[in-house]
Amino acid sequence: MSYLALSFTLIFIAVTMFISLRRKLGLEKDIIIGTVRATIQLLAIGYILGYVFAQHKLWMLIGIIMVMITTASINAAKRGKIFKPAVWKLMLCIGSVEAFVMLMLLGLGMIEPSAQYIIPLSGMTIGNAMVVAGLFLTQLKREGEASKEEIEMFLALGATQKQSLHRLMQRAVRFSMIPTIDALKTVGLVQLPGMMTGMIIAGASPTEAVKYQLLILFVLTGAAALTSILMSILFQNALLTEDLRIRSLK
Amino acid sequence: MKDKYKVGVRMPLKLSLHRVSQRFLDEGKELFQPYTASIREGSRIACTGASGQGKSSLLKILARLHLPASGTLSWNDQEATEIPVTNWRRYIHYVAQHATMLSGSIEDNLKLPSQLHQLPFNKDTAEHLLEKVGLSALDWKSEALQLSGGEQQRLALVRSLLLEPQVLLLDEVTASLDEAHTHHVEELLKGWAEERDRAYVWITHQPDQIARIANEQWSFDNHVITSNRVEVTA
Repeated sequence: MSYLALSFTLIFIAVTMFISLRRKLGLEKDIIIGTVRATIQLLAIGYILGYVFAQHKLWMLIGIIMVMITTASINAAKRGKIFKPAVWKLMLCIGSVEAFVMLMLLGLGMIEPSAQYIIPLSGMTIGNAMVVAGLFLTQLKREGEASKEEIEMFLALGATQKQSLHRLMQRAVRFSMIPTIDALKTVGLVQLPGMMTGMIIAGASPTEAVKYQLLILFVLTGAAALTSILMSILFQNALLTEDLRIRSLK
Repeated sequence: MKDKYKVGVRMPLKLSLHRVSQRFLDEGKELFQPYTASIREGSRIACTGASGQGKSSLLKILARLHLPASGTLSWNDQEATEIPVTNWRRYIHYVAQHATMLSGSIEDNLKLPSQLHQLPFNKDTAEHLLEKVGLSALDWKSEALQLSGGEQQRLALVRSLLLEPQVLLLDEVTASLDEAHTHHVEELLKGWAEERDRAYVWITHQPDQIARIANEQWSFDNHVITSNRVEVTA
Protein backbone atom coordinates (compact mmCIF):
# COMPACT_ATOMS: atom_id res chain seq x y z
CA MET A 1 0.00 0.00 0.00
CA SER A 2 1.38 3.39 -0.94
CA TYR A 3 1.58 6.27 1.54
CA LEU A 4 -0.83 8.18 -0.72
CA ALA A 5 -3.38 5.37 -0.38
CA LEU A 6 -2.74 5.31 3.37
CA SER A 7 -3.35 9.04 3.62
CA PHE A 8 -6.75 8.57 1.96
CA THR A 9 -7.77 6.53 5.03
CA LEU A 10 -7.83 9.84 6.87
CA ILE A 11 -11.22 10.27 5.19
CA PHE A 12 -12.56 7.91 7.86
CA ILE A 13 -11.14 10.17 10.56
CA ALA A 14 -12.71 13.17 8.81
CA VAL A 15 -16.07 11.41 8.93
CA THR A 16 -15.63 10.81 12.66
CA MET A 17 -14.68 14.50 13.17
CA PHE A 18 -17.69 15.61 11.17
CA ILE A 19 -20.07 13.50 13.27
CA SER A 20 -18.49 14.67 16.49
CA LEU A 21 -18.80 18.36 15.46
CA ARG A 22 -22.28 17.99 14.09
CA ARG A 23 -23.56 16.10 17.13
CA LYS A 24 -21.55 18.23 19.57
CA LEU A 25 -19.94 15.12 21.08
CA GLY A 26 -16.86 17.13 22.04
CA LEU A 27 -14.55 14.34 20.94
CA GLU A 28 -12.57 16.32 18.33
CA LYS A 29 -9.52 16.91 20.51
CA ASP A 30 -9.32 13.26 21.54
CA ILE A 31 -9.79 12.13 17.94
CA ILE A 32 -6.92 14.32 16.74
CA ILE A 33 -4.62 13.26 19.57
CA GLY A 34 -5.58 9.63 19.07
CA THR A 35 -4.98 9.74 15.34
CA VAL A 36 -1.60 11.42 15.69
CA ARG A 37 -0.50 9.08 18.49
CA ALA A 38 -1.60 5.93 16.67
CA THR A 39 0.21 7.04 13.50
CA ILE A 40 3.45 7.90 15.28
CA GLN A 41 3.45 4.84 17.58
CA LEU A 42 2.73 2.40 14.78
CA LEU A 43 5.14 3.95 12.26
CA ALA A 44 7.83 3.97 14.95
CA ILE A 45 7.28 0.33 15.87
CA GLY A 46 7.20 -0.52 12.15
CA TYR A 47 10.65 1.01 11.67
CA ILE A 48 11.99 -0.46 14.90
CA LEU A 49 10.77 -3.93 13.95
CA GLY A 50 12.21 -3.58 10.45
CA TYR A 51 15.55 -2.65 11.99
CA VAL A 52 15.46 -5.44 14.58
CA PHE A 53 14.53 -8.05 11.97
CA ALA A 54 17.47 -6.99 9.84
CA GLN A 55 19.99 -6.97 12.71
CA HIS A 56 19.52 -10.52 14.02
CA LYS A 57 20.67 -9.45 17.48
CA LEU A 58 19.40 -11.47 20.44
CA TRP A 59 19.71 -8.65 22.99
CA MET A 60 17.44 -6.44 20.90
CA LEU A 61 14.83 -9.15 20.77
CA ILE A 62 15.01 -9.71 24.52
CA GLY A 63 14.95 -5.94 25.08
CA ILE A 64 11.71 -5.54 23.14
CA ILE A 65 10.08 -8.45 24.98
CA MET A 66 11.16 -6.98 28.34
CA VAL A 67 9.58 -3.65 27.42
CA MET A 68 6.38 -5.46 26.49
CA ILE A 69 6.30 -7.39 29.79
CA THR A 70 7.00 -4.29 31.86
CA THR A 71 4.37 -2.17 30.13
CA ALA A 72 1.79 -4.95 30.40
CA SER A 73 2.57 -5.47 34.11
CA ILE A 74 2.31 -1.77 34.97
CA ASN A 75 -0.96 -1.57 33.09
CA ALA A 76 -2.49 -4.68 34.70
CA ALA A 77 -1.31 -3.58 38.16
CA LYS A 78 -3.69 -0.62 37.92
CA ARG A 79 -6.51 -3.11 38.42
CA GLY A 80 -5.07 -4.21 41.74
CA LYS A 81 -3.65 -1.07 43.34
CA ILE A 82 -4.79 -2.20 46.79
CA PHE A 83 -2.59 -5.30 46.61
CA LYS A 84 0.67 -3.54 47.29
CA PRO A 85 3.61 -4.99 45.38
CA ALA A 86 1.43 -5.96 42.41
CA VAL A 87 3.82 -4.91 39.61
CA TRP A 88 6.59 -7.33 40.59
CA LYS A 89 4.21 -10.23 40.93
CA LEU A 90 2.69 -9.38 37.56
CA MET A 91 6.09 -9.21 35.90
CA LEU A 92 6.91 -12.60 37.35
CA CYS A 93 3.58 -14.01 36.21
CA ILE A 94 3.49 -12.55 32.71
CA GLY A 95 7.21 -13.18 32.22
CA SER A 96 6.82 -16.85 33.18
CA VAL A 97 3.89 -17.29 30.83
CA GLU A 98 5.80 -15.69 27.96
CA ALA A 99 8.88 -17.82 28.68
CA PHE A 100 6.82 -21.01 28.82
CA VAL A 101 4.94 -20.25 25.60
CA MET A 102 8.08 -19.34 23.67
CA LEU A 103 9.98 -22.39 24.91
CA MET A 104 7.13 -24.61 23.78
CA LEU A 105 6.71 -22.94 20.39
CA LEU A 106 10.42 -22.90 19.63
CA GLY A 107 11.27 -26.16 21.34
CA LEU A 108 8.67 -28.13 19.40
CA GLY A 109 9.48 -26.33 16.18
CA MET A 110 6.04 -24.80 15.79
CA ILE A 111 7.58 -21.50 14.74
CA GLU A 112 10.94 -20.53 13.33
CA PRO A 113 13.41 -19.00 15.76
CA SER A 114 13.40 -15.57 14.16
CA ALA A 115 12.30 -12.16 15.40
CA GLN A 116 9.66 -12.02 12.68
CA TYR A 117 7.72 -14.80 14.47
CA ILE A 118 8.82 -14.30 18.04
CA ILE A 119 7.90 -10.63 18.40
CA PRO A 120 4.32 -10.68 17.09
CA LEU A 121 3.53 -13.90 18.97
CA SER A 122 5.09 -12.53 22.14
CA GLY A 123 3.03 -9.37 21.78
CA MET A 124 -0.16 -11.40 21.54
CA THR A 125 0.76 -13.70 24.43
CA ILE A 126 1.81 -10.86 26.71
CA GLY A 127 -1.19 -8.72 25.74
CA ASN A 128 -3.61 -11.54 26.48
CA ALA A 129 -1.88 -12.38 29.75
CA MET A 130 -2.23 -8.71 30.69
CA VAL A 131 -5.99 -8.77 30.09
CA VAL A 132 -6.43 -12.04 32.01
CA ALA A 133 -4.29 -10.82 34.92
CA GLY A 134 -6.22 -7.54 35.02
CA LEU A 135 -9.54 -9.39 35.14
CA PHE A 136 -8.23 -11.68 37.84
CA LEU A 137 -7.23 -8.72 40.02
CA THR A 138 -10.56 -6.97 39.43
CA GLN A 139 -12.40 -10.09 40.58
CA LEU A 140 -10.05 -10.72 43.50
CA LYS A 141 -10.67 -7.19 44.75
CA ARG A 142 -14.42 -7.67 44.43
CA GLU A 143 -14.25 -11.04 46.21
CA GLY A 144 -12.11 -9.57 48.97
CA GLU A 145 -14.94 -7.17 49.74
CA ALA A 146 -17.95 -9.36 49.02
CA SER A 147 -16.76 -12.64 50.52
CA LYS A 148 -15.39 -11.39 53.84
CA GLU A 149 -17.98 -13.36 55.79
CA GLU A 150 -17.24 -16.54 53.87
CA ILE A 151 -13.51 -16.17 54.52
CA GLU A 152 -14.12 -15.46 58.19
CA MET A 153 -16.37 -18.51 58.47
CA PHE A 154 -13.57 -20.69 57.12
CA LEU A 155 -10.95 -19.08 59.33
CA ALA A 156 -13.13 -19.45 62.43
CA LEU A 157 -13.42 -23.18 61.70
CA GLY A 158 -9.64 -23.40 61.81
CA ALA A 159 -9.12 -23.60 58.05
CA THR A 160 -5.70 -23.00 56.53
CA GLN A 161 -5.01 -20.16 54.09
CA LYS A 162 -5.44 -22.48 51.14
CA GLN A 163 -8.67 -23.97 52.46
CA SER A 164 -10.14 -20.56 53.27
CA LEU A 165 -9.46 -19.10 49.86
CA HIS A 166 -9.96 -22.16 47.69
CA ARG A 167 -13.50 -21.38 46.50
CA LEU A 168 -12.84 -17.69 46.11
CA MET A 169 -9.72 -18.25 44.03
CA GLN A 170 -11.59 -20.72 41.89
CA ARG A 171 -14.21 -18.05 41.14
CA ALA A 172 -11.55 -15.46 40.29
CA VAL A 173 -9.72 -17.88 37.97
CA ARG A 174 -12.94 -18.78 36.20
CA PHE A 175 -13.95 -15.14 35.81
CA SER A 176 -10.62 -14.13 34.32
CA MET A 177 -10.78 -16.89 31.71
CA ILE A 178 -14.31 -16.24 30.45
CA PRO A 179 -13.39 -13.85 27.58
CA THR A 180 -10.67 -16.18 26.30
CA ILE A 181 -12.98 -19.18 26.30
CA ASP A 182 -15.82 -17.22 24.71
CA ALA A 183 -13.45 -16.07 21.96
CA LEU A 184 -12.42 -19.68 21.40
CA LYS A 185 -16.04 -20.73 20.95
CA THR A 186 -17.18 -17.98 18.57
CA VAL A 187 -14.09 -17.36 16.47
CA GLY A 188 -14.73 -17.60 12.75
CA LEU A 189 -18.47 -17.31 13.29
CA VAL A 190 -18.66 -13.88 14.86
CA GLN A 191 -15.32 -12.34 14.05
CA LEU A 192 -12.37 -12.99 11.82
CA PRO A 193 -9.40 -12.45 14.07
CA GLY A 194 -7.01 -9.61 13.27
CA MET A 195 -4.01 -11.77 12.61
CA MET A 196 -5.80 -13.95 10.09
CA THR A 197 -7.33 -10.92 8.37
CA GLY A 198 -3.88 -9.36 8.13
CA MET A 199 -2.29 -12.46 6.64
CA ILE A 200 -5.04 -12.85 4.05
CA ILE A 201 -4.76 -9.20 2.99
CA ALA A 202 -0.98 -9.54 2.76
CA GLY A 203 -1.52 -12.39 0.29
CA ALA A 204 -1.29 -15.58 2.33
CA SER A 205 -3.73 -18.35 1.46
CA PRO A 206 -6.74 -18.45 3.83
CA THR A 207 -5.93 -22.01 4.94
CA GLU A 208 -2.36 -21.02 5.81
CA ALA A 209 -3.75 -18.02 7.72
CA VAL A 210 -6.15 -20.34 9.55
CA LYS A 211 -3.30 -22.62 10.66
CA TYR A 212 -1.52 -19.71 12.31
CA GLN A 213 -4.74 -18.41 13.76
CA LEU A 214 -5.43 -21.78 15.40
CA LEU A 215 -1.93 -21.79 16.77
CA ILE A 216 -2.53 -18.33 18.24
CA LEU A 217 -5.90 -19.25 19.71
CA PHE A 218 -4.64 -22.39 21.40
CA VAL A 219 -1.52 -20.63 22.64
CA LEU A 220 -3.62 -17.80 24.06
CA THR A 221 -6.02 -20.20 25.75
CA GLY A 222 -3.19 -22.09 27.39
CA ALA A 223 -1.51 -18.83 28.30
CA ALA A 224 -4.73 -17.54 29.87
CA ALA A 225 -5.10 -20.64 32.04
CA LEU A 226 -1.47 -20.47 33.07
CA THR A 227 -1.76 -16.76 33.84
CA SER A 228 -4.81 -17.20 36.11
CA ILE A 229 -3.30 -20.12 37.97
CA LEU A 230 -0.03 -18.27 38.52
CA MET A 231 -1.97 -15.20 39.64
CA SER A 232 -3.95 -17.25 42.15
CA ILE A 233 -0.70 -18.60 43.59
CA LEU A 234 1.14 -15.26 43.61
CA PHE A 235 -1.78 -13.39 45.17
CA GLN A 236 -2.64 -16.13 47.67
CA ASN A 237 -1.46 -13.93 50.55
CA ALA A 238 -3.05 -10.72 49.26
CA LEU A 239 -6.22 -11.17 51.28
CA LEU A 240 -4.87 -12.79 54.46
CA THR A 241 -2.03 -11.96 56.83
CA GLU A 242 0.64 -14.44 57.85
CA ASP A 243 -1.26 -15.36 61.03
CA LEU A 244 -4.46 -15.91 59.02
CA ARG A 245 -6.42 -12.77 59.67
CA ILE A 246 -8.27 -10.81 57.00
CA ARG A 247 -6.04 -8.06 55.69
CA SER A 248 -7.65 -4.63 55.65
CA LEU A 249 -7.46 -3.45 52.05
CA LYS A 250 -7.27 0.31 52.38
CA MET B 1 -2.98 -35.36 70.99
CA LYS B 2 -6.18 -36.49 69.34
CA ASP B 3 -7.39 -38.52 72.33
CA LYS B 4 -6.91 -35.58 74.62
CA TYR B 5 -9.84 -33.85 72.97
CA LYS B 6 -12.12 -36.80 72.63
CA VAL B 7 -15.81 -36.20 73.32
CA GLY B 8 -16.73 -36.74 76.92
CA VAL B 9 -13.18 -36.77 78.21
CA ARG B 10 -13.13 -34.39 81.12
CA MET B 11 -10.17 -32.18 81.24
CA PRO B 12 -9.53 -28.76 82.67
CA LEU B 13 -9.39 -25.84 80.31
CA LYS B 14 -8.22 -22.33 80.85
CA LEU B 15 -8.35 -19.52 78.34
CA SER B 16 -6.78 -16.41 79.83
CA LEU B 17 -6.78 -12.80 78.71
CA HIS B 18 -4.08 -10.63 80.20
CA ARG B 19 -4.63 -6.86 79.95
CA VAL B 20 -6.29 -7.16 76.54
CA SER B 21 -7.47 -3.86 75.05
CA GLN B 22 -8.71 -2.68 71.70
CA ARG B 23 -8.74 0.63 69.85
CA PHE B 24 -10.96 1.95 67.09
CA LEU B 25 -9.35 1.17 63.75
CA ASP B 26 -9.52 4.64 62.24
CA GLU B 27 -9.45 7.10 65.14
CA GLY B 28 -7.10 5.25 67.46
CA LYS B 29 -9.43 5.96 70.39
CA GLU B 30 -9.89 3.29 73.04
CA LEU B 31 -12.71 0.84 72.33
CA PHE B 32 -12.25 -0.91 75.66
CA GLN B 33 -9.62 -0.62 78.35
CA PRO B 34 -7.22 -3.42 79.30
CA TYR B 35 -9.16 -6.39 80.60
CA THR B 36 -7.88 -9.42 82.46
CA ALA B 37 -9.98 -12.54 82.93
CA SER B 38 -9.98 -16.26 82.52
CA ILE B 39 -12.44 -18.71 81.08
CA ARG B 40 -12.50 -22.16 82.64
CA GLU B 41 -14.37 -25.42 82.21
CA GLY B 42 -18.01 -24.76 82.95
CA SER B 43 -17.73 -20.98 82.45
CA ARG B 44 -20.93 -19.70 80.90
CA ILE B 45 -20.36 -16.03 80.32
CA ALA B 46 -22.86 -13.50 79.02
CA CYS B 47 -21.44 -10.39 77.33
CA THR B 48 -23.76 -7.44 77.72
CA GLY B 49 -23.73 -3.76 76.94
CA ALA B 50 -24.81 -1.29 74.30
CA SER B 51 -23.85 -1.76 70.65
CA GLY B 52 -20.47 -0.43 69.59
CA GLN B 53 -18.77 -1.17 72.92
CA GLY B 54 -16.52 -3.82 71.42
CA LYS B 55 -18.24 -7.06 72.42
CA SER B 56 -17.80 -8.65 68.99
CA SER B 57 -14.27 -7.28 68.83
CA LEU B 58 -13.37 -9.01 72.07
CA LEU B 59 -14.78 -12.30 70.83
CA LYS B 60 -12.83 -11.98 67.58
CA ILE B 61 -9.67 -11.24 69.56
CA LEU B 62 -10.28 -14.40 71.60
CA ALA B 63 -10.59 -16.39 68.35
CA ARG B 64 -7.44 -14.64 67.09
CA LEU B 65 -9.42 -13.31 64.13
CA HIS B 66 -8.44 -9.78 65.24
CA LEU B 67 -5.30 -8.51 66.90
CA PRO B 68 -5.73 -6.68 70.20
CA ALA B 69 -4.19 -3.21 70.60
CA SER B 70 -2.36 -4.58 73.64
CA GLY B 71 -2.33 -7.61 75.90
CA THR B 72 -1.84 -11.33 75.51
CA LEU B 73 -3.85 -14.54 75.41
CA SER B 74 -2.96 -17.94 76.69
CA TRP B 75 -4.48 -21.41 76.48
CA ASN B 76 -3.82 -23.81 79.35
CA ASP B 77 -0.86 -21.61 80.37
CA GLN B 78 0.69 -21.69 76.93
CA GLU B 79 1.12 -18.35 75.13
CA ALA B 80 -1.18 -17.94 72.13
CA THR B 81 1.77 -17.12 69.89
CA GLU B 82 3.18 -20.60 70.54
CA ILE B 83 0.03 -22.34 69.33
CA PRO B 84 -0.69 -22.63 65.59
CA VAL B 85 -3.67 -20.42 64.82
CA THR B 86 -5.56 -23.18 62.99
CA ASN B 87 -5.43 -25.38 66.12
CA TRP B 88 -6.38 -22.47 68.31
CA ARG B 89 -9.52 -21.73 66.30
CA ARG B 90 -10.55 -25.34 66.27
CA TYR B 91 -10.72 -25.35 70.07
CA ILE B 92 -11.72 -21.72 70.63
CA HIS B 93 -14.36 -21.24 68.03
CA TYR B 94 -16.16 -18.06 66.99
CA VAL B 95 -19.75 -18.29 65.72
CA ALA B 96 -20.80 -15.20 63.74
CA GLN B 97 -24.00 -13.27 64.24
CA HIS B 98 -25.08 -13.93 60.68
CA ALA B 99 -24.61 -17.52 59.65
CA THR B 100 -22.60 -18.01 56.47
CA MET B 101 -23.51 -21.12 54.57
CA LEU B 102 -21.24 -22.73 52.08
CA SER B 103 -22.94 -22.90 48.70
CA GLY B 104 -23.71 -26.57 48.33
CA SER B 105 -25.87 -29.05 50.19
CA ILE B 106 -26.71 -29.16 53.88
CA GLU B 107 -24.56 -32.28 54.05
CA ASP B 108 -21.58 -30.37 52.59
CA ASN B 109 -21.99 -27.83 55.36
CA LEU B 110 -22.25 -30.42 58.09
CA LYS B 111 -19.18 -32.24 56.83
CA LEU B 112 -17.10 -29.08 56.50
CA PRO B 113 -15.40 -29.21 59.93
CA SER B 114 -14.34 -32.84 59.55
CA GLN B 115 -13.28 -32.20 55.98
CA LEU B 116 -11.13 -29.20 56.92
CA HIS B 117 -9.36 -31.16 59.64
CA GLN B 118 -9.29 -34.55 57.91
CA LEU B 119 -11.32 -36.23 60.63
CA PRO B 120 -14.05 -38.84 60.31
CA PHE B 121 -17.56 -37.44 60.09
CA ASN B 122 -19.84 -38.51 62.93
CA LYS B 123 -23.27 -38.88 61.38
CA ASP B 124 -25.01 -39.91 64.62
CA THR B 125 -23.78 -36.82 66.45
CA ALA B 126 -24.89 -34.62 63.56
CA GLU B 127 -28.37 -36.17 63.55
CA HIS B 128 -28.63 -35.88 67.31
CA LEU B 129 -27.64 -32.20 67.26
CA LEU B 130 -30.00 -31.38 64.39
CA GLU B 131 -32.82 -32.95 66.34
CA LYS B 132 -32.00 -30.83 69.39
CA VAL B 133 -32.30 -27.61 67.39
CA GLY B 134 -35.47 -28.71 65.58
CA LEU B 135 -33.91 -29.43 62.20
CA SER B 136 -34.30 -33.21 62.07
CA ALA B 137 -36.75 -33.00 59.16
CA LEU B 138 -34.21 -31.45 56.80
CA ASP B 139 -33.24 -33.23 53.61
CA TRP B 140 -29.44 -33.33 53.74
CA LYS B 141 -29.21 -33.21 49.97
CA SER B 142 -31.00 -29.88 49.64
CA GLU B 143 -29.26 -26.58 49.05
CA ALA B 144 -28.14 -24.90 52.28
CA LEU B 145 -28.63 -21.40 50.90
CA GLN B 146 -32.33 -22.14 50.41
CA LEU B 147 -32.89 -22.36 54.16
CA SER B 148 -34.44 -19.46 56.08
CA GLY B 149 -32.22 -17.15 58.14
CA GLY B 150 -33.20 -18.86 61.38
CA GLU B 151 -32.61 -22.34 59.96
CA GLN B 152 -29.21 -21.30 58.63
CA GLN B 153 -28.29 -19.95 62.05
CA ARG B 154 -29.20 -23.22 63.76
CA LEU B 155 -27.44 -25.28 61.10
CA ALA B 156 -24.35 -23.10 61.56
CA LEU B 157 -24.45 -23.84 65.29
CA VAL B 158 -24.65 -27.57 64.65
CA ARG B 159 -21.74 -27.24 62.22
CA SER B 160 -19.78 -25.40 64.92
CA LEU B 161 -20.50 -28.06 67.53
CA LEU B 162 -19.34 -30.77 65.12
CA LEU B 163 -15.94 -29.08 65.23
CA GLU B 164 -15.90 -30.21 68.89
CA PRO B 165 -14.55 -26.95 70.25
CA GLN B 166 -13.59 -26.42 73.89
CA VAL B 167 -14.76 -22.82 74.07
CA LEU B 168 -17.55 -21.36 71.98
CA LEU B 169 -17.66 -17.63 71.25
CA LEU B 170 -21.26 -16.88 70.38
CA ASP B 171 -22.07 -13.58 68.71
CA GLU B 172 -25.81 -13.01 69.25
CA VAL B 173 -26.56 -16.41 67.83
CA THR B 174 -30.23 -16.42 68.81
CA ALA B 175 -30.98 -12.93 67.46
CA SER B 176 -32.72 -14.30 64.35
CA LEU B 177 -34.63 -17.09 66.17
CA ASP B 178 -38.17 -17.17 67.56
CA GLU B 179 -38.81 -17.86 71.21
CA ALA B 180 -39.21 -21.62 70.93
CA HIS B 181 -36.05 -22.11 68.91
CA THR B 182 -34.15 -19.71 71.15
CA HIS B 183 -34.99 -21.98 74.09
CA HIS B 184 -33.93 -25.11 72.22
CA VAL B 185 -30.59 -23.55 71.39
CA GLU B 186 -30.12 -22.29 74.95
CA GLU B 187 -30.85 -25.75 76.36
CA LEU B 188 -28.48 -27.42 73.91
CA LEU B 189 -25.56 -25.08 74.53
CA LYS B 190 -26.02 -24.96 78.27
CA GLY B 191 -26.17 -28.74 78.42
CA TRP B 192 -23.12 -28.98 76.19
CA ALA B 193 -21.09 -26.71 78.50
CA GLU B 194 -22.26 -28.33 81.73
CA GLU B 195 -22.12 -31.99 80.75
CA ARG B 196 -18.84 -31.84 78.94
CA ASP B 197 -17.12 -29.21 81.06
CA ARG B 198 -16.79 -26.86 78.15
CA ALA B 199 -17.24 -23.09 78.19
CA TYR B 200 -18.86 -20.33 76.20
CA VAL B 201 -18.88 -16.56 75.95
CA TRP B 202 -22.23 -15.41 74.63
CA ILE B 203 -23.12 -11.92 73.47
CA THR B 204 -26.72 -11.10 74.20
CA HIS B 205 -28.94 -8.05 74.07
CA GLN B 206 -31.87 -9.77 75.75
CA PRO B 207 -31.78 -9.02 79.52
CA ASP B 208 -34.03 -11.98 80.34
CA GLN B 209 -31.64 -14.35 78.57
CA ILE B 210 -28.73 -13.67 80.93
CA ALA B 211 -30.09 -15.59 83.90
CA ARG B 212 -31.02 -18.54 81.66
CA ILE B 213 -27.68 -18.99 79.97
CA ALA B 214 -24.96 -17.55 82.18
CA ASN B 215 -23.18 -18.05 85.47
CA GLU B 216 -20.95 -15.04 84.85
CA GLN B 217 -21.46 -11.69 83.18
CA TRP B 218 -19.03 -9.39 81.41
CA SER B 219 -20.60 -5.93 81.20
CA PHE B 220 -19.32 -3.48 78.64
CA ASP B 221 -19.96 0.06 79.72
CA ASN B 222 -18.23 3.30 78.85
CA HIS B 223 -15.17 1.50 77.42
CA VAL B 224 -14.64 -0.55 80.57
CA ILE B 225 -15.41 -4.25 80.98
CA THR B 226 -16.42 -5.54 84.41
CA SER B 227 -17.06 -9.08 85.49
CA ASN B 228 -19.75 -10.32 87.91
CA ARG B 229 -21.22 -13.60 88.95
CA VAL B 230 -24.76 -14.18 87.84
CA GLU B 231 -27.12 -15.24 90.61
CA VAL B 232 -29.26 -18.08 89.44
CA THR B 233 -32.80 -17.90 90.69
CA ALA B 234 -33.91 -21.48 90.82
